Amino acid sequence: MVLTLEQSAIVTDEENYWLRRFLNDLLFRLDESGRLADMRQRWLEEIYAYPRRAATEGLPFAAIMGILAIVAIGTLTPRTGWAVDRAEAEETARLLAKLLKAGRFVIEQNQQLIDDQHKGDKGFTPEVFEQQLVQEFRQQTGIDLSKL
Amino acid sequence: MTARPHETGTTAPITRLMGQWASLLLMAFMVQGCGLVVDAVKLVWPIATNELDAICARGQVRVGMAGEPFQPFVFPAIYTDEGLRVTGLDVELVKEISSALSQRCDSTKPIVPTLHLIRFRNLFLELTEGNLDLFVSSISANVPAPGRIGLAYSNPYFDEGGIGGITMRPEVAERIGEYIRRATTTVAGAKVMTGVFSGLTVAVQEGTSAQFYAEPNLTDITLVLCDSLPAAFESQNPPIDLILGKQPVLDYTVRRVHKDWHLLR
Repeated sequence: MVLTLEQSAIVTDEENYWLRRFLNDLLFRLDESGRLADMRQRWLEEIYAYPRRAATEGLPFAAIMGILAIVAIGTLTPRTGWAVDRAEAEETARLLAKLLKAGRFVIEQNQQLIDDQHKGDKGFTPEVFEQQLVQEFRQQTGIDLSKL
Repeated sequence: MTARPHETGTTAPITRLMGQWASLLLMAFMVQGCGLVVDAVKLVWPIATNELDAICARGQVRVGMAGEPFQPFVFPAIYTDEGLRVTGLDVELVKEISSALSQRCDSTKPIVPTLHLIRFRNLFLELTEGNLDLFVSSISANVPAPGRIGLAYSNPYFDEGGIGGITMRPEVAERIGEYIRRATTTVAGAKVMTGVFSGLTVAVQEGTSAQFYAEPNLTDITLVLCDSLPAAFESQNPPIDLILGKQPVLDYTVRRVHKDWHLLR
């Protein structure tokens, strides 16, 4: 339920017409190419641990202005660190549970083959298991373990 | 009779000085009353013709961003092995802007985004004072807000947003859900909204569109202004029945961080 609709935009000075025109052109190109949709999907739908993204693709910042500087340096940092640890731990636990579930699913799918007493070499090698597990995990979470 | 020339000799410079001051004062009044003088000067001598050129010359674009988190648009800044970093959808957008500016400037050096983390409510002030070129932080475009003059908004980069609510109390969610169902609409009108939230203690982040929506539309509530969304969760006195904010931010928060809170549906 939404109380009212709203759209997010970039804010500039009213008189910065060139910059605004430039930004509008850029947003149009990003939208047309599907890049904006990808970004939305990537940040709103995908499952990820943001501390990892911050480490690999985050931007540094020049300054913290205003009262926040005092708060951020003095108190926010340890709290943020704690929040990050907890968020990452929760995320890791959740993904491990998914991995276990995916492993059990793969075994279940191959149970008949495993139980087949008439076959010597069943072809269900650790490599095959790994391959199927990665595929199942990707289907469940969208994360490709082979790319880690 | 002999005194007259002497008198004239002493008062003449004073009279001239007073005349000059009066002229200056008159001009000052005229200039004050006529902002067109500034425009006329600009026509003869353009002070800042193209701000893109200024960015190119500087080699950096000054970007403001809210210090308070608006996940997943802006996550809290954290320490990494490379130092303090900030990330999120808006940060990725800033990278795209910098990349496009580098192409536009056609310089050997890329345009570097200089991020300034600022309190949300101060972003607007810093921009109008000329300390920033632009800012992003899931800012709602064209939300009527007092005091926000001299600003302009780009075309939207995210248009699936809206103002939503979350609550930790099932009875509040149930009451609101029931009220809305009876109103037989999902996007409820102002009358329905006033009735449904009546008597509740509602928290919003100060200076955000949620505040500017709640103040005129939800008249029968106790409105609590918080510094940030995390502060709204921490608020104990008074206890919060409902938090209003940006739907995508609240949705992310209840799915990933505060799983004991529920989005109003």
